Amino acid sequence: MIQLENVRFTWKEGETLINIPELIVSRGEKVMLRGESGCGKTTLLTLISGIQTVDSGVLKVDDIELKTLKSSKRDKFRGDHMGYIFQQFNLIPWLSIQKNILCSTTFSTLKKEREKESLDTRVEMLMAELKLDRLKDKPVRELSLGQQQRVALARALVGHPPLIIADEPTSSLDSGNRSSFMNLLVKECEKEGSTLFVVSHDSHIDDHFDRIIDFHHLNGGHND
Amino acid sequence: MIKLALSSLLNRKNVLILIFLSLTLSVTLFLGVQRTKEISRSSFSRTISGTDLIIGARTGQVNLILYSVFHMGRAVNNMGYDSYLDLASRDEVEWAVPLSLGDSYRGYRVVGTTNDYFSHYSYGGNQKLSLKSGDTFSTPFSVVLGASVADEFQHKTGDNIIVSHGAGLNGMNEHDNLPFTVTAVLEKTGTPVDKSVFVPLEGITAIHLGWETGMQRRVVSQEQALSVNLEPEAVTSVLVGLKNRGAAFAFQRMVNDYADEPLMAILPGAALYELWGLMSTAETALTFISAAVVVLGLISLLTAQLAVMNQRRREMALFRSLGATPGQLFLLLFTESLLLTTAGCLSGMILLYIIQTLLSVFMSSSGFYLSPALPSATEWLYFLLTLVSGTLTGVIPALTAYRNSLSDGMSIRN
Repeated sequence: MIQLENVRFTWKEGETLINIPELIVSRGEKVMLRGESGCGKTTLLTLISGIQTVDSGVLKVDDIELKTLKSSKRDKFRGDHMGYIFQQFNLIPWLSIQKNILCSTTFSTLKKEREKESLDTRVEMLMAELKLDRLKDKPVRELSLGQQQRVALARALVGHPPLIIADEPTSSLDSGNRSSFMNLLVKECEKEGSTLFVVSHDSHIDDHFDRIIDFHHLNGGHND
Repeated sequence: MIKLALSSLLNRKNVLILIFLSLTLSVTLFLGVQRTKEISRSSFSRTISGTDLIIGARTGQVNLILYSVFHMGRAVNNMGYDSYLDLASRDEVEWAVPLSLGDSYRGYRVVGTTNDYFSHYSYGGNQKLSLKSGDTFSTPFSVVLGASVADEFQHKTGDNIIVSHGAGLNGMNEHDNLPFTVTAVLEKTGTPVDKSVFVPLEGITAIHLGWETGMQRRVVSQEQALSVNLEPEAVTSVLVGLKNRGAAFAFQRMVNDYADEPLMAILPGAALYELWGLMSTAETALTFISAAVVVLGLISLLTAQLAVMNQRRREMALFRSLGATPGQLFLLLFTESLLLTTAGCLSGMILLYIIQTLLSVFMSSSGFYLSPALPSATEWLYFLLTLVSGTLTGVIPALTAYRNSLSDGMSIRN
């Protein structure tokens, strides 16, 4: 699903931040990339999600080499093939929970087409599965952090994207919320058959993954 | 995208309602100034039609048209009645109506004239005056009332009225020895005619018997007045219709060179043109101020959009993660400004019509012609100008969002 070969990337000249000889994540795999904050994990995510392109080497997602796409095509590719969960501030404050979840399909017609049921039914099902149905009419501003992350998960799942990326999804949650969120995340990815790629420094969630990759071993680049 | 922009706007409705209001009011003000200008011009223009020349004692042409047609200001000098008779008898002249001004009835101008006035005076594209009731002058003490005057004092034919000397403000100079009898009331015209009181020239002469020194020296009865020659010595001005309009310039020159007394003849159109020139400085100032108000409205819109921009960088990053291109984020912000500006402009236009309709109901007796009409070409131009500049203002926050999203990518800033 994700394939990197001799990938190099730098923000500033002379400082190679990312230098990854090889990284392969298979379809359906659940992988965690562990590393301290500020070590370049998030930069790697901007490459995988196609916000930035590699300076050299090959980076393929779903067998597409991202740097061959124009920037607007990469944006569309991300919208179509990925579900993305941030550490926090995942929600648009002026949209309802349902609309926040449906946001995924605003910029991706493919996600809309992949939904066989009507979108409303799908949102209701997801909200029930993620125990959000009781919160239906609540403004998103009033949701707890754990609830917000569950809404973000629902949004990432709409449209059955083959790849779910999460950037420190649990670091703003307390331990109880953390494990229940991880259980839901893993369960839903398995159910959908989606590949899960999580970057985190949180060692409490190791058990949920097929494979843990240490970023320092993976990356030969430096960030001073 | 429009749905998304709408719900984003609704989220900030408290601030945006104020901005919407300020846009609405500024557009109303801006268009209102233009409309006032057009209304005042058309009110002036439609007041006099079919009159080729106005003749009076030498003064400014604006002054002459103002006091003889619009009943504003007062004549400095009169012209001899002989001159009127002489000029009226010329071959080129089809009709000539003398006007004698200077007295008033409860604040309304008294116009001494002849029955010819009612058959020759026309307004607003050659509409003639028509009588709502009664008949024109039959005796020197007949009076014909304009619609507003009759309306205000509930006068009908047969009523007696007493006119005052001069502007009649102190109530001391009443011509109460010689009352006039209402013989007719005119139909409404939407011109100063509505606010005039018409009496025969002889009546004017009669009420001034005994006033030769400017104060009342002796009291004259109606019988005494009717027994003397009431032909006036002077009139204030003369409205002239020519047989052939093309002769207007030649006739004007002839009057201006009139040997027996210094006279002047003016073309109403030229006098009005000069009047617009006098008014244009004030109009330009008003236009400038109202345009400045529109600019302020747009700046407040811009301020509101930019003030929340930092907070919205998070939203933009989220949208990027969902597959939005920077161009789409530009469009989102741009659509927001466009919706707000368009709504503000449209409601400003609508408010203008509401105000005008209300005014035309409440001020129907003002002599101003206020009936709402479709926006003129100039108004559409100003409307579009506002809309376009509002739209261009919207480009600024949109560009900011575009640039932010390029540099931020998906990193969520706190």
